[in-house]
Amino acid sequence: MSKYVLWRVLHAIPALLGVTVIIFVSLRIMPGDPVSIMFGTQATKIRPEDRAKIEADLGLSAPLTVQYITWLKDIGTGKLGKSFWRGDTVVDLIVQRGPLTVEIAVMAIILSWVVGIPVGILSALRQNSALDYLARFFTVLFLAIPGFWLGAMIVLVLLLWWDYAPPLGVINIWDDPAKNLQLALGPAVVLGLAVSAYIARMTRSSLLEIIREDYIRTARAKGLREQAVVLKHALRNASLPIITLSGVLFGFLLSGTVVVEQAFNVPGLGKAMVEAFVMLDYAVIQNLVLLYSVVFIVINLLIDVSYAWLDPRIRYV
Amino acid sequence: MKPWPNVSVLAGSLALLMLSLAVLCVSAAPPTSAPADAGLLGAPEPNPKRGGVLKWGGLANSTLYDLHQTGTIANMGPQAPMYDLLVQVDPVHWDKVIPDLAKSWTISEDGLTYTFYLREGVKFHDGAPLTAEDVVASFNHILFPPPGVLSPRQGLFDAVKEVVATGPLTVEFRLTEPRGYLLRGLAAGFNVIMRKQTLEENNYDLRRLPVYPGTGPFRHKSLEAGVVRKLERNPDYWNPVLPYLDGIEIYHLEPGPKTGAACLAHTVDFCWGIDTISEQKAQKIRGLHTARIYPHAPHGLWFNLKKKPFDDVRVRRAINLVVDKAALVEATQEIFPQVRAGWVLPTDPLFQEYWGKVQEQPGWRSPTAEDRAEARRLMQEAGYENGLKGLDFLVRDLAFYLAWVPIVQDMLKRELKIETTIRVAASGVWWEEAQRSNFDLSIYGYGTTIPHVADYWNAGFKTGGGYNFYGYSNPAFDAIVAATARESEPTKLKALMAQGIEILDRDIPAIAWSTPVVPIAWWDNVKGHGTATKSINFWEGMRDEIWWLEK
Repeated sequence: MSKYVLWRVLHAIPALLGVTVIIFVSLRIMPGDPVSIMFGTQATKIRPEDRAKIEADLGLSAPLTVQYITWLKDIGTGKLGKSFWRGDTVVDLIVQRGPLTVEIAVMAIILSWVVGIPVGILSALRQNSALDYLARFFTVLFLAIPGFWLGAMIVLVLLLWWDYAPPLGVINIWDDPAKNLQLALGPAVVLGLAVSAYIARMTRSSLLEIIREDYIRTARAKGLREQAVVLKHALRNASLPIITLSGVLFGFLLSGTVVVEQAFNVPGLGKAMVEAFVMLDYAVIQNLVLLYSVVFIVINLLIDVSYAWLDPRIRYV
Repeated sequence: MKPWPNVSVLAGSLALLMLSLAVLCVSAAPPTSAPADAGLLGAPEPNPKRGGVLKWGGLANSTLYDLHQTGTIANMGPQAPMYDLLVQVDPVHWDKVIPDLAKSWTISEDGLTYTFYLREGVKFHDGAPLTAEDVVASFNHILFPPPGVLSPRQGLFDAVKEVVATGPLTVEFRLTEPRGYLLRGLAAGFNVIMRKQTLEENNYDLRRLPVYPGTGPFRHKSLEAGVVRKLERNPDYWNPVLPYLDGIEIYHLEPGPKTGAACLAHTVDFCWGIDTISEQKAQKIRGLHTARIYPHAPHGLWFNLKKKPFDDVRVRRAINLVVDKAALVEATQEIFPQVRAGWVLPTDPLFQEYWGKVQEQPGWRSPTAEDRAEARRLMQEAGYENGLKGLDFLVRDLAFYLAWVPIVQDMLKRELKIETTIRVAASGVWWEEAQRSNFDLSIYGYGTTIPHVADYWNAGFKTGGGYNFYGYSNPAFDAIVAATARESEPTKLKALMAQGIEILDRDIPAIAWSTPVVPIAWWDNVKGHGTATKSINFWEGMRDEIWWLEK
């Protein structure tokens, strides 16, 4: 197993290098000028000699290869470079805002299991019943509703009916759990409901396949209770694709936070990413994209490792 | 579309009339007196209470931290309370400039030397004493920035040839020619006094320095960039009475519904830049108050005068005659309220008189059949009787610009057969394209620092002015701008303005049709805001030292 993990980690390195090249090049060919953005309406006053000096200060006048290598060195030192505009390092930003985003994503994935798996089970066990149709209607509905719209609606309803708005600022769970929950719950529910629709559909289709297998019929023939048949035998075997999907969806959840945090005005990494794009803060954008890629790769690795635990037939050598 | 004027615009005009009366003396007062410190500042209300932390919400996410290099509210809100100015606009009586770090000053008979006498015992937040050298270094930073350092207000002090420390606590500003608005310029909220040592240690560039010592009523406590800056009371502030608050928390909120929501839900006490829907709701909530602020920021249609067809004044005049400015202002009332403006801005004391004269004249009124016929005649004379095709209409991706641009496009096509292609660009792209003259037409707006026509015209219309990226140049007009800057006698200033307006009406370098209105709101517990909520105080009312909270 450890050899397998090492092998996967080594294979992740070229993938991550590929990500760095893609994001670096994309940002440089993207239209827009960070120096102009820095000075806003004053930008029309920048003299060429001032622009040259400012670009040099920001490291933008160096050849692209030098800029890229400098970034790789920053990654190597673990500081990830400094925000173009602020004195803080990107690590500071991640430490400050990351916990909130991770919390939202974890809450959303848990919610998606809590809602999606039971709905999927009921839908599979009562196939083509009214309950199944109802469940399928809602899963399609939650798949179709864009998160930013649902988020905006929730914010509006809370505000206009109850004069309520979530607290402001970065409030971590260890600082003030009640306020933290007010901050994280809205985005987590919006993201969780969307993801639960995927989970419900996957649970339903996996279970429908499994419950027709011979060993399920055998379990029932042995006189096992239906609950045991479904939960112990069918669901465990149906869980592999659900786990795989959850891993993929966790990645989507992280990207989903970009939109939903903006809608709820939650100062997580997603919102930081949006702000960085608006301000063309290359240092922040490229490091956050890299971070999301690392998280995605790590989660996929963990999922692969979890297969062996869930299905004893799977062994990594 | 409703014809102008309507109720909302009339109400706006009434507010502006009151506003203009209030500021009547601002640009007119000749700076020949020798004011003395009239006493220390305090709250406008009796019995102000000490204590409490004010929660302020609004645009507060800046791309740089150097107050001398910036020009936006995003810096003023979170940073202004940490710094003092040499002189300041009276937060209670907006038309007066009163002492700040300078306890008094004298002005020579010829108006060429201003001598400021600094307070004794003022300390920076790091404990260092304030000296005249700090004031000199601060203004050298503004007046003579080194390469790579931008100074947006440099033009405001174009007549200052040097700033000299003539004693440990005495500073002289030496001018090449008089400037009627110099004190007002010095009092602009961005021109804070920084520490000489800080400037020197950072090569006079504090863009990426989130915290640097000031002498202001509040000092830095913590910063979560892009989220909140927390300030705490400066216990060593030179005015022993101030500040009243224990601290301020300045939350960054995007202007519009998000700021409005925070105010309606009372997660903040004071909100800057709410949307009109929130404004209407706030007006129905007991304990919540609203007001509208009028920044000096002309918006309109800008031509690229460096190339055809807009190098031909006849084409510009024709367009000016058919663009219905009143309709454009009305179109964005719900998303970004505006009031009409022209070659004089609504915050100028002479605006009402100016507007009274021009509002029914061709080019300013909504187009009539006569105006349309004249516009078509001008186009024919210019050789464009069949219209124009393929013009590049560059526009920034701001909501109200995006609302305006198709209306203007339609007006041009319908009235003059001018066909344009709208090109929407992110702000960074827009500025790049504008600087490269890579556009034919654009919707644009800029902010001026003081409510004086010299600042407005100098920045936007003078040859080589800071915002003159589109190529307008008229030596006769430049001479008038220079004269308005020198003039402090109201009658003469008015005569010069009339000459300038005549040239602009003839040349039509751009079509300025409005300035924005910023709706604000605050809860009952917030007191002492003085003129900060009385329509006009924009850059100057953000230091919050006389604000207090009713518990």
